[in-house]
Amino acid sequence: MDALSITFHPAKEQPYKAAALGFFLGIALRAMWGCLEPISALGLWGVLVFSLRDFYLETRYELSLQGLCIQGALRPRKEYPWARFRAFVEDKNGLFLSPYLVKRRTENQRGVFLAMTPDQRRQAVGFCETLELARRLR
Amino acid sequence: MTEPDPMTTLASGLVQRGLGVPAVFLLEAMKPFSLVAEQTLLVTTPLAGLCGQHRLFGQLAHLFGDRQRMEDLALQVEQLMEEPTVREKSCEKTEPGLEAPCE
Repeated sequence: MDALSITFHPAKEQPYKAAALGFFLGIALRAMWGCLEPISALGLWGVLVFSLRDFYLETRYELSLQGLCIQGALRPRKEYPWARFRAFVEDKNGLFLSPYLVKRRTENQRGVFLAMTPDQRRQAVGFCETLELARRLR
Repeated sequence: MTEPDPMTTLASGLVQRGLGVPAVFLLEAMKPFSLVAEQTLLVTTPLAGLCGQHRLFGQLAHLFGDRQRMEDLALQVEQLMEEPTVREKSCEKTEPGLEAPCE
């Protein structure tokens, strides 16, 4: 396996949560509109909506022999060479790629978490194993 | 005789002093301010020359001049930090009774 492309769309995976969150966003806009100036209300609501872009918009992970590429709408494209990672940790919400073989304090700062479904995680784990990254427990 | 790479010397010095983790943390935290750090170091280099430290300041300014260089240094530090771990793991894999491949 030379390359693997994974597309993850959390809102599509959890439609009820997406609908509930959309309803909450509507209430938040109505409340802000009533309490603040229209411009401020729209600005703050825009910031709130923008912070949820990873949930409502899809993210694509491209795993190849050269490295990992993460891209999606409204987010900068990021590329990481595999030399940066030495281990992977399976999580119920996805896969964490760590630059360390043992847990260290800067792990969350330097590592990369790939949110994905359990099926996608199994594929990604298979790919990581072909790259000889070490499997690590949390 | 070729002079050793200053980044390699800096990375190994940091790891030998047990400062690998704080160094990686600070390098990552300083990335957004790399331009400010570089310019500050360039401005203070003549003053550092009075203390005989102009070479060190020049090297640090060179480091902060490019974020990729900062990332490379962080990778070097991480690699050096992981080396003992790799050695420990290979020792752990040795079955009891067999001669250990490393001390």
